[in-house]
Amino acid sequence: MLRRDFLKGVAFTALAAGLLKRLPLGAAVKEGEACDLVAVRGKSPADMFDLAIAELGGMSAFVRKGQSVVIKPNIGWNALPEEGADTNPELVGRIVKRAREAGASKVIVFDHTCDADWVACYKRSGIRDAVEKNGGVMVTGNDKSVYREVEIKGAKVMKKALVHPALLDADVVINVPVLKNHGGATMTCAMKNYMGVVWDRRWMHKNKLEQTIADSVLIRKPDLNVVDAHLVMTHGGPTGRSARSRRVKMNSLLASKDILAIDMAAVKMLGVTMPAHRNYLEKASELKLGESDLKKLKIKRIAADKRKS
Amino acid sequence: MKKLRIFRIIISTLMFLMICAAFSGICDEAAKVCGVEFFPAFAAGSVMAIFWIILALVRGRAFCSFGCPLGFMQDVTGFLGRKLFRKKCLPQKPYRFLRYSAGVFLLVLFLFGFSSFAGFFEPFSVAGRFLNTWLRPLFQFIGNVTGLWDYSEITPVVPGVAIASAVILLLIVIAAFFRERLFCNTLCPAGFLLGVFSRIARYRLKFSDKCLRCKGCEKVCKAGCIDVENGVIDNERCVVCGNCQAVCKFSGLTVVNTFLPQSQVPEKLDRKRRLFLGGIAIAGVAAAVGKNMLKEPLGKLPCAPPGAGNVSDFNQKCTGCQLCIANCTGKVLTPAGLEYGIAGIGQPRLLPEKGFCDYNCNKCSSICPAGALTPLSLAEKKRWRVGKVTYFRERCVVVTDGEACGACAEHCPTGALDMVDYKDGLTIPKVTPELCIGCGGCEFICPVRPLRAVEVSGVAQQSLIVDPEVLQSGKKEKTPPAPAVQKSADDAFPF
Repeated sequence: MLRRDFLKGVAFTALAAGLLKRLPLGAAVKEGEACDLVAVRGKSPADMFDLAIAELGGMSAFVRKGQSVVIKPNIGWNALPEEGADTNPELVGRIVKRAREAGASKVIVFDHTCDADWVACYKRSGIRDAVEKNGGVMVTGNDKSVYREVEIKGAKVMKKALVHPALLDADVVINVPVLKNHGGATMTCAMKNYMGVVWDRRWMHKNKLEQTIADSVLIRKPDLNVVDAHLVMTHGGPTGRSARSRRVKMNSLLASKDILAIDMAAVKMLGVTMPAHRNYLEKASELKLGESDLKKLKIKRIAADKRKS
Repeated sequence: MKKLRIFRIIISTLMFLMICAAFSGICDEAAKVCGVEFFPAFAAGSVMAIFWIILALVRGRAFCSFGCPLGFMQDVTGFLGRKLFRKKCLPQKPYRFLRYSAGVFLLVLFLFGFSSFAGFFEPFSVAGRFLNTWLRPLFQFIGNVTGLWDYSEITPVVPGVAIASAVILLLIVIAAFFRERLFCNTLCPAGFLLGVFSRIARYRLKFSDKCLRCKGCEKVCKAGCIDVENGVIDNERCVVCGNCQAVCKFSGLTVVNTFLPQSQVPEKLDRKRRLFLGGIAIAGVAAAVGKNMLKEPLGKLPCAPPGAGNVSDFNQKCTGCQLCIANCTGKVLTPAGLEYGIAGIGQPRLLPEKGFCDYNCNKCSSICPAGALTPLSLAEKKRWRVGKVTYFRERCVVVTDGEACGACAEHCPTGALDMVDYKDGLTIPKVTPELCIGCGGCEFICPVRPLRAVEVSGVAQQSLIVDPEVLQSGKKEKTPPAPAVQKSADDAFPF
């Protein structure tokens, strides 16, 4: 054996060992292969979305020409983008843009805001500007009269609910939460964000919150979930207004069709364990909303800041 | 000077539209302009009140024609009445006894701290109460139907206040249909007060030699203060509308420089004067006696808007114009019924059942035209306590149903309500009273009915809370680790 070959072999083994160590769960995905979950790190939220959606087959895999698209970000609070309480506006804007480019007939963005003045929430979060600049429209989620009552098949507790019509009428639903700690639910991410399509959240709080959160996904499973983990509120969520609140710049983004899988990954990112009484992930698993075992998923990991170009 | 009328029509229309915009809650700048209104400015002791008084001392009560929204509304119906039906303005009696009695009575009430009662007749508040309860919902409705502006939930108004505001305003504008500015020279406290000053105005209208006694001016005088027969113009009642000079083709009326109060129509005032003075004395005594009795709040004290400071002082100053209610971002302000006591009817209060005070808003304190709310900076307002939370553990869904909730802590902006470990992995709210600002977010979102598990009640004296950072560091609680910013790309994804 030549000395050079031997050295090459050692180097490859070391590299492989390193990779394996770094990626303890789930199978690594080779270039070009389809995957279930994409995790990106190291660029702006909007650019990370572009990298992620390419791995999932491009926007055209989700949006076909003439289809209507609904995007549901988290715009719960009257807060600035740097507070990390709402979804990053550039990310929402980019998704709107890509949906339009893929031929969407219209792109509607809404949230049923927690703060009373929804106009202030839309404006101050920067999302309204970003959406309208990229050819989307924003509608209010705070008008009870437009909500429609629907039966939720398969739900265990919330068997019917008043749901925002934009969601019901859309061809494509894209759920774009921001990853945050949550005082009541421990973590708010993809599934918790989906509460915003239902009118009566007080009722959900009163009737087994963890089950009703899981039930709400059955209204209409989102076709794509994009988690904004750019600036993550690790303590003192969801508003980040108290002195306890802390934020960590994770510069990451997750994307998947599977709402449960993406939340399972998000829990790991946030570094928490879901307590038994708030574990809507377990309830979602019981309802078979997705895959809860990350080992069974094909995960594509992209450290964009390490890549050349 | 013939252009005065045109000038007046333009200015008063602009003012009225601005006030409408202010009460539609769409324009902060317009809301701030409301500070020029005479009576609120008088209550606030602001420079605008002095401006209008000096103007009255120089020429007359120009405010009534230029700045008053109620005056504008009366001019509209009065104009219709004149064109459609009477064909002319009718001369009016001076009503001096009534005007002085009503004016002094309302001022005594006002000075003894019954500002809200005075607000039932003070023109800006009368207009404001009406615009807030009727025009704003109409404006929202039109926006919602046509989609021309942002959708907003139509906020229901307290029925008693809505009916009272409509009845009083309608009586005034209907009276104007028949007798034009009748209200302004009988019941209006602003008109009375400015009238007293314009009685000795330096420059005023007089008949000149060129007057032909055609009575043309009398027929367009809205205040009915021109008496051509006797050659007298009562400057105390004149609202400086400019109609008379505009209609006179012969320059029969000119503004002259004079020190002397003009001769009045003789009136037998002796008996009336005694009655009048007696009336004032009785009103004063009644107000002084009733002051504390009527101000006793019924039940728990409601939360006053931020900036009220001492709530009892606030109750004395606020005329209940409802400008803050119309502009409330959190839709939490609502006119009080008897919650502040009888004297506080119509004054704003927080009603957390309806909404909650927006953490990022300090509009109400910055626009109060009557100075009842002291302006707070946004940073101050975020730490400004208007109320205190009470948590009823036995009502809480975590205790009664053994289910996770945390909605209250989710809405708490200061960390006054926090979720702490309870049992079986459940968490339960814990109150840190020092941090509560009384915004009402927790009470608003609490899902428990009929009685909510968190309630907010007002504080008699508003003040700044302690700095949450200081409180945190003092407590040495398990502080979360400092932000660990992920810098290196070598850090793997944790999955």
